[in-house]
Amino acid sequence: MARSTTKKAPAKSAGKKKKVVKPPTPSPPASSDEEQEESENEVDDNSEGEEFTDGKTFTDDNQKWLKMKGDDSASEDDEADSDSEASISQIERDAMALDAEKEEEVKEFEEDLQRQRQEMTKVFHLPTAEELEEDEDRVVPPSEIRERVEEIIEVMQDFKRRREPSRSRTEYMDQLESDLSEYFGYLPELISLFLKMFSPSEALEFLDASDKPRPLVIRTNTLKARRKDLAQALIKRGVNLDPLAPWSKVGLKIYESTVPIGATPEYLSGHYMLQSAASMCPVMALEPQPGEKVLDMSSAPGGKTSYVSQLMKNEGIVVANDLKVERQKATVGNLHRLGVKNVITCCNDGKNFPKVMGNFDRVLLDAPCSGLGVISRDQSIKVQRTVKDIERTAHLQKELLLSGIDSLNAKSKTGGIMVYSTCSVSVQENEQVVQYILNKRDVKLVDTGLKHGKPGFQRYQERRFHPSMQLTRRFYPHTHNMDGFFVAKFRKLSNKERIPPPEEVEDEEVSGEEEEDVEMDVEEDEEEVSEEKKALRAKFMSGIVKPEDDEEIDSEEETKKSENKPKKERWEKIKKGKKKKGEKVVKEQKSKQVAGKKKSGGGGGPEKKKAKK
Amino acid sequence: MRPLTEDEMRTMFQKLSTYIGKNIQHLLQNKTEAHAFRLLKDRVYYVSESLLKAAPNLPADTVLSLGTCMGKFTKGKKFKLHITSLDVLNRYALYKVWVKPSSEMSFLYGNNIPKSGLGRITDGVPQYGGVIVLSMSDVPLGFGVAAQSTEVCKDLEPTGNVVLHQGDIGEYLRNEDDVF
Amino acid sequence: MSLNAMDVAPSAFSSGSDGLSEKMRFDLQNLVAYNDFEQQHPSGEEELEQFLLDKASEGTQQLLQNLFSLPWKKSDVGPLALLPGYSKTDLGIDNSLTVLPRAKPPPVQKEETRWSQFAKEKGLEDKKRGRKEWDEATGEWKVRYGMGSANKEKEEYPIMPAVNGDPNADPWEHERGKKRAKVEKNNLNRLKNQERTGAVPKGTAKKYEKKIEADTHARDVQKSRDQPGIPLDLKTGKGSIVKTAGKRGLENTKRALEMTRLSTASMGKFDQARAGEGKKRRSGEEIKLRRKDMSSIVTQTRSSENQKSLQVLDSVLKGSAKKEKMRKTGQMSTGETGHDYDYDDGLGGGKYRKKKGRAGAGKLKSASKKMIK
Repeated sequence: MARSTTKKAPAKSAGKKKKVVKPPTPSPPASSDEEQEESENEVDDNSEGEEFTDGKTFTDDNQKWLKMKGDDSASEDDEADSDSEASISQIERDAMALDAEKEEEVKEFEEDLQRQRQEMTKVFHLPTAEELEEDEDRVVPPSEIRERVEEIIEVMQDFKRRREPSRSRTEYMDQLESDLSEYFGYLPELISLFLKMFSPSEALEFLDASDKPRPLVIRTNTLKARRKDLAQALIKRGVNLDPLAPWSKVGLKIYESTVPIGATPEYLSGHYMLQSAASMCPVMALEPQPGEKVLDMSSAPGGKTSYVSQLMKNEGIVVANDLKVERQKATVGNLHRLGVKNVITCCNDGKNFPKVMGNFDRVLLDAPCSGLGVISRDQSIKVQRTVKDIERTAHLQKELLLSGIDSLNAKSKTGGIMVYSTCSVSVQENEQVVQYILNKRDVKLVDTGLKHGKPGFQRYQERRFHPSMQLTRRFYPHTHNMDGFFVAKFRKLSNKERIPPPEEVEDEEVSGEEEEDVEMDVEEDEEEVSEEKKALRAKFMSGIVKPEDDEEIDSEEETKKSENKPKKERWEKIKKGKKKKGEKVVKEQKSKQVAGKKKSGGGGGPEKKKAKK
Repeated sequence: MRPLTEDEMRTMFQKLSTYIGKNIQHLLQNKTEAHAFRLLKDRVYYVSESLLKAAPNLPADTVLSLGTCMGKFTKGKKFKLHITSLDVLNRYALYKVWVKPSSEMSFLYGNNIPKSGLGRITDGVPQYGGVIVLSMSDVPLGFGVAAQSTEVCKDLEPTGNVVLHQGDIGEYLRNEDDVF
Repeated sequence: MSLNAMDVAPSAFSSGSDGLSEKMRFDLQNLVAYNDFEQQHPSGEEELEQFLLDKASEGTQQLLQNLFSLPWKKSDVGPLALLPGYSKTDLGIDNSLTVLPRAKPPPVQKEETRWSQFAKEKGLEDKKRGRKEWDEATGEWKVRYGMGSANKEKEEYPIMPAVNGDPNADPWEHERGKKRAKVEKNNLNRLKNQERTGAVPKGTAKKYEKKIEADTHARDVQKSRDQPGIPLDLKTGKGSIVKTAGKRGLENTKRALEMTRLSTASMGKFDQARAGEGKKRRSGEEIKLRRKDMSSIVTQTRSSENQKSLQVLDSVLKGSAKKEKMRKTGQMSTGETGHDYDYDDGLGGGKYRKKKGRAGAGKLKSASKKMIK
C-alpha cells in the first residue's frame, strides 16, 4: 500500500520518539497549507513505520495506534492514508486529530490539578526536636534538606491551612533557618538577617542567586572608543556579547569568549574596563558634569573614577582617594591605561576629607561594606561575616558619609550632590545609615534616576524611616541579575547641622555607638516626650485616634509638602503613621509573608491593648 | 611636588624630541588649557592648570599621581619614557610604524619588530629615531626606536629588526608595579 | 804625589807652545782664566771666529793644566780636585778674583721705631728672658707661658676685686675693657710706626683711632640702654622710638602688644585668645610673602615657567645630539671647573674597571638591546 507522506500533526512531547528513516518521497503540495501550520516535527515523523497512522507518537495515553484485527476504523484509517479517493478528506482527518489532542491535554491538566490538590492538602510533617536528635548521626543529603526547605516555604505561604496544628510558627521558622544555613553554608545569624528582610521564598531565591556567578560585564571607555566599534572588534576576536541593558549606553555583557577578556589589545589600549553592572549605577546616579570638582572617596581599583572622568569628558577635576596604597596603585595604572587626564590620585583616610580639601561639587562614596550582595564573587563571606562586622562597617560608613557631606559645597551652582552606595543588602548599612545622615545634616534625598531598581525600605522591623527613603534604590541578584547593591543620592541644602527632634530618636533603637551624639541632645527633651506620648496613648486607647493602615505614605507628595511645612508638624504627621513604642514584635509576626495580615495598628490594636495591660 | 629644573627639562626634552621633535611646543602651549610638567618623587607628570590649582591643597606625601605620567628620572639622572605617555606621544608623533597582526602579540610581549612584521613606515625616519608603533587599525600599541632608517629598512632581510622595543601597552599587565 | 796633565792625556796637552803662550790669571774657585793681554784680531768674520776659538782653546788648556796642580782626593768617580774657597775653613773668605753681581736686591733700610730710638739713647739693651719664672705663690720655678705657668693672679676667680666706684658694674666686663684698651693702644702705635716707615698708607692710623672712638661710644650707648628695669621702647635718646620718656603712645602700645603676644616659648601659637581678642591678623608683609610662597608652587605656569621651558626647548632643538655628547664628555669645556679637566690624552687611562667582565660595568648588568643611547 502506497503510503502517503502526510504531514503529521504536532506530536506530543511526552511521547517516545522512534528512529528516523527518511524516505525520499515529497509531500503533496495541495494539502500542504493547513498541515504546514500544524506540523512541527515534520522531519522526525515523516517516515515511521507503516503502523504509524495519524502522526501521533506512541504513548500509553494515546492508544489509538493499537489496532485490532478486522477493526473497521483501522482499515478505514488505512484506506484513508492513501492520497487519492479518501472517504474523509485530509483536513477533516487533521481536525479530528486536533480535537483528540485537545481532549488529551485537558485530561492531563485535570490529572495534574488533582495531583496538586492532593499535595496542597497533604500536611507536611515538620520534624520535631526528638526526631532531629535521632537524625543527628545520619548525614542528611542536601537534596533532602532542600526538599524540606521548599516544603516549609510552601507551608508558610498558607500557614493556617497547611500547618501541623501542634506546631508553632517559630518552630517552622527555626527549622527553616537551620536548614538554609546548613544547605547553603552560611552562618545562622546571616540567614536570620536575610529572613528578616525577605519573605522565605524570596530569601531562598536570593540565596540561590548568591551561589551562582553574575555574568561578566564590561564598560566601554567613551574617551577612546564607541560601543559599536568595540563590540565589533571583540566579536571579530571571538567573543559572544550583547548590550548590557536598556538603561546603560556603555555596558556590554559577555556570555563567552575564546580570548581572555582582560588581555585583549583593546583592553590594553584602554577601550574598555571590566566592571560589574552594579558598579555602574552609582556613577550614573551621580551624573558628574564637565568642569566640576568631584571627589571619589573610595576609588580603588578605579572603575568608578574612570567612569566619572568619562562622563566629564576629561574636563574638570577628580580627586580619587583610597585608604590603601597598594590598591590605589592599581587605580593609577587603570586610569593611565584608560587615558584619563583629569584625576589626582591620593591616599588619605576618607575621614580627613573636608580638612584636607573641601568644596566639591559632587562626592561619590562607594563605602567599604560587609559585601552581603557580592557573595557570588567571594563565597567566604558566608562564614566570615557576622552581625558585629555589619555594625562595625555601618559605623565606618556613617563617619565617611558625614565627611563626604561636609566636603560638599552647598552653594555649588551645578551640584552639591552626594551619592552613597554599598554592595550590601543589609538594612543596617543602607537605610539606617541614610536615616542617620538625614538626621544629622541638612540634606535631602533626591531621585537617583535609576528606574530599574527596587525602592529602599520605608520601614524595617520596628524602625521607621523618612518617607523619602523610597527614592533610594536596591538591587538584588535574584531580581536584577546584578550584584546586591544600594544607591542613595543626597543633595546638600546648607552647611548647618541638624539637631534631630526627640520623638524620632526615641522610636528608633538606640544602640551604643551610633546614637551617642544624638542622645545627648535628646536628654533634655525626654520628659516632654514622655508626656506627649502618654497623651497620644490615652487618645488611642479611648478610640479617638483611629489606627490607620500601616501602608507606606505616598512619599513624593509627602516630601514636597513636608519641605514647606515646619519641622515639628512633619514629625507629628509621620508619627501618626508609626507604631507605638513598647509594642514588642512577637516572633510570630516576624514573617512578612503572612499574606493579607496587616502588621498595622488595625490588626494589632486589640493585641496591643492586651500587651499593655 | 615641584617644577623641573633646567637640567632636568633639558634631559627630558631631548628624549621627547626624538619622538615628537618640535611639537613639544604644543605640549607647552596647549591651546585648550595650559599644562605644565611637575616632578613628584622622580616621576614627571604632565598636568593641566586646573589640577595644579587643586593639587597643593592635598598633603604632599599622600599624592600618588597627577594628570598623565610621562616617565621618570633614573638614578643616573637619565629620563626614561613610560608607556603611560603613549597618548600624548601619539598625538604629536613624527614617525609612525604600523605592525602586521601576526607580529602584534610578539611586540606586546616585549620583543622587537622584525622586518617580516612591518606593515607600513613613515618616510624619512632617521636611524635611532623615536617611533610610535600602531596596529593596522590605527590603535597605538607602544613606542620604540627605529633600528634603521627608512631606506635601509626597505632592503632589510625578513629577520632583521626594524623597531627596537622601548615600551608597549602589554606592560600594563606584565609590569604593573612600574606604572606607579 | 801630584798629577800631571801630561801623564793623564798626553796628546791633548802640548808643552811645546810654552814660550809663546800668554800667561793668564786664574780664579780657580770659579774656574775662570783671565787673559788680560791686548789681542790683535783679524778683520774677517770667519777668521775672527777661528782666532777666538784658538784663543779659547789655549785658555782652557792652561786652566785645566792649573787645575791639575790643585790638591786632590780620591772618590768612587775618580780623583777629585779640591777647589779653593769651598772647604769649611775657607768659607766666608772670598779669595776669588771674580766679583759676582748681587743676586737679590739690597735690603731696605728699616726706619728705626720710636722705641728703638729711645732704647739707643738710653742705652737699653734687649733682655733675654729665660724659660722659667719664679712663682711667688707656690715658691717654685714655673714655665713662663702655657700650662702650669707662674703668676696667674688674674685668674683667681670668682672673687673679683670690685670696680672702683660703681657698685653695679660688672668686674669681668671691666677687666675685658682694660685689656681691650691695651690692645687698641698697642695696635695704634704699631700702625703709627708703620705709617712713619711707609709700610702702610698714610691715614690708616687715624682711621683706626676713629674706629676705636666710635666703638667705644657705641658700647657706652648700649650700656646706658641696657640698664635693667626700663623697657627698651621707653628709653629716649639716640635712635629710640619714643619721644617722651615713660610714655609709649597708642601706636607703640599696639606694637608692644604684638610683641608680647609672640614672646612665649612657642611664639604665641598655642595661647588661647581671650574674650575680645580675636585671631591674630597677618601683617601685610606676611600676606605678601605667603602669597609669594603659594604662587611659587603653582601659578608660574603661564608666565615665567612657560617662558623658561620654551627657552630650554629652543636650545635643545638647536643643539644636535653630537654637540650634547661632546658637552657631556667635556670636549667643549672652557677649563673653569674641575669637571673640565677630564681631558682625554689618548692614552686610555680613564676607563679603569675594578672587576672584569660585565660585572665591572656595575649596574649595567643586563645590557640588552633596549640600551640605546
